[in-house]
Amino acid sequence: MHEGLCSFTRVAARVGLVMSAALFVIAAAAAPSFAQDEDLDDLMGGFDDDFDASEFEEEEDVAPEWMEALPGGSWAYESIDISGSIASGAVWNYLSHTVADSEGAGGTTDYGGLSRLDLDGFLQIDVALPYEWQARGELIAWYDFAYQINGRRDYNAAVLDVYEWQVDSGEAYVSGPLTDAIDLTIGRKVVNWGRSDTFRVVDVVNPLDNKEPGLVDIEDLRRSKAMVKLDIQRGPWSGQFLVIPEHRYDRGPPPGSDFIPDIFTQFGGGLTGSAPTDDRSDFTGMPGLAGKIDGRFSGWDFSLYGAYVDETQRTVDVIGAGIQNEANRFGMVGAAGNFTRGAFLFKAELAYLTGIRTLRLQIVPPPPPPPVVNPTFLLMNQQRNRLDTMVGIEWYGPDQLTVALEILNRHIFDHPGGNPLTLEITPADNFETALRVSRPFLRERLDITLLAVVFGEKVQDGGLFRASAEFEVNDSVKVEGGWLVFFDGPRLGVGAFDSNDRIYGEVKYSF
Amino acid sequence: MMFGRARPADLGLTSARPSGRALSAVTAVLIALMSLSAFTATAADDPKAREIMTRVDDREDGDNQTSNMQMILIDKRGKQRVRDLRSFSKDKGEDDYSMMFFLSPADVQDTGFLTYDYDEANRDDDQWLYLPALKKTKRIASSDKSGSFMGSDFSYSDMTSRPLENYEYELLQEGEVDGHPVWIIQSTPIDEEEIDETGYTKSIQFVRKDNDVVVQAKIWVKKGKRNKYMKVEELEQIDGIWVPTVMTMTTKKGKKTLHKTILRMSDVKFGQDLDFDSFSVRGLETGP
Repeated sequence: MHEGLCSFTRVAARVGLVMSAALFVIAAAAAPSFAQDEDLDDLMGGFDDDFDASEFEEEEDVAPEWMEALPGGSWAYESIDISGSIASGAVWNYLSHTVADSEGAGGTTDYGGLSRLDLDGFLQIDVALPYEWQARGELIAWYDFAYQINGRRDYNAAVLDVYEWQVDSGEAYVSGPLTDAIDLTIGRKVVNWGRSDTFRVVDVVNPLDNKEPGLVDIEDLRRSKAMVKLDIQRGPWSGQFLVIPEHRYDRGPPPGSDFIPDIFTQFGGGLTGSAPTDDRSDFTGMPGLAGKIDGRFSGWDFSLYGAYVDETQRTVDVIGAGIQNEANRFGMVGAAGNFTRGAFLFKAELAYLTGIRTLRLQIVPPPPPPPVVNPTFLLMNQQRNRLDTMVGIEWYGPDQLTVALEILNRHIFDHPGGNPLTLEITPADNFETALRVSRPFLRERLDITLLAVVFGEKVQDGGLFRASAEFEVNDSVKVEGGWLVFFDGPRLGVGAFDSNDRIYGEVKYSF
Repeated sequence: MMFGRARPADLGLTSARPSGRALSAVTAVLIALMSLSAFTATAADDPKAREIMTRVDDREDGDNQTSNMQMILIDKRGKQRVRDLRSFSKDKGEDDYSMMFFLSPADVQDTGFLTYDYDEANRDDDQWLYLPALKKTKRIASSDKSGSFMGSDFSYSDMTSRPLENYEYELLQEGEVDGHPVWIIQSTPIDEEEIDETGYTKSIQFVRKDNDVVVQAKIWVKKGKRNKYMKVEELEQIDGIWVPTVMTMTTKKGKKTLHKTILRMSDVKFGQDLDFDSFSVRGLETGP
């Protein structure tokens, strides 16, 4: 918006420099050698004649004696599968910065230094039921020691509520076939629609847990929602129909957090105080409805979508002097498809959404005379229609190098961009571009991923870069580390991220 | 915008580029190493060798197969990693439908691969990958097949049959492996394109005379002055079909072992009640 070319040059230069360096490392490692051994003299040599297969015999999978002694112990051993993980992670913000916080001591919170030191657990229980039915339950919990270490009183209640600890259910459902072609699922479920790996276009069913943008573990990224789901399959065609009675919303950074300054303190008009976090779950009102039809064919596929569901992003509704969350129902019709050609995968998504809420700052004209130097603002919601378009390409190169590019635009119709009395917080066109490069090394023990996401059609609105590496210590333990950099941009929210550059690490034990 | 931490699109498994051929993986390895199929006689081609390879190609390899597959990956220091998979396969004419699921390690449990492996030489395979962490099935493009299959010493080209009119064969000599008489046959790609795709410049196979099974192979790898040695350690006849139930692939540079993979098949069954609709995204997401 503001800085134009200057911003573009700076952001592009930083992204380019970092990506170039990292790509060089990957490309160098992938460079082929053409030398070969042509000697046939040792034709019969080189084979291991001393191999003893019995040294590697598979252990017989039998229930332990103590379990067999229990009533139903053998059934439980055969039918119940318990898996999960325990992880400990840390995040260090290496740039010193403070965030406006109306509730914190002195009105600001210092977010430099230790940002997270947590212990989190994930538990999944699967039960095989008769007639090929199955049940699943998931539990997610974490505790972050950083707030005790840094001093809890320096953070507002919303921040502590979102970040300090949490116990949440993941998926919890029963599922099974009604006929050879129809499956029924009842319970809390995650349904992931669309072809994009980065952007949500037709993926409108589940809310996101995005409390720490860029660093939420991918298993925890979507929040499950109670639904009745019907899946139908016939040859290359399949259909899915959802009835969603539960209202549940995104979990995002609250005002006063590291990512969102308490913006409402800036505008006056009684709009002070942090917006409450939204962990509500209720089953009131008409259920959401959604469905899709897929066709999968050799080399290409497509899907058609329709939905009338809750907006999963938390909306802010201004009622008098207070700020409340309020559910907003919207409609969506969309389509998505893939097309493959050799080592290339092309993808596209399109969605037309009606009744999407956007935020506007309305200037209240001062009464004449006398003139008011500081105008009054009114924060208000507008309901608009929007067209989301995503195109992307993935290239599967040598040595399992993968490069993926996705470009997204969200276009709002009837956008009053030229009105001098309003500041539309949501722009008429919202471009985002994501470039992801990944490659395994050391026989897939080490995975390196580079991700750059930039905002604005000319990269003028900032962005982020993340470099991460994951190393398999053994079959149960993995360590991960990374570097996350935010690029300055004028867009509300993104600008607040600017000083949030951080490094992170995690050790994870899976069982 | 949404971008979860860890994994390109889940723990690097998108880069695992499943080639499928889950069920008959071992058989596929052998067939791939044989480099059979249509014949284009060339100056160096040996009719006798090609006849043997044709028999190997025509050997019954079963249909409607289910099995468990275990891969033990051993590095040069002897450190082991284990991958357990459950696999299903079905023939559709000359094409192969296959599906495999990770049972372990725990963090990739339930990850599934679905492959439609087409016999037609110029037709790309259709491949899908189910990522349980994302609750999403993702289409994967076909790609260079010279890369490691799930970190093992087997490559993706080892796991799929090749359009083998692209090879010329030569019967080098006859010999004996583990007391069984064998033919020793060299296969050489006829062009650079095939070499680039498989990563192999040449291979020598040891074909048992009594059952036309490749029981040993030495492979020249284009990259890094390396050789790979495949050996069938255990061979069983199941429902009248010869099935290598234990085999090894060892990567060496000179005489130094760089890495080794033990591939073990168990609970191998043919003629199972598998319908084509099971080899679908719905089947992938439902699990093994």
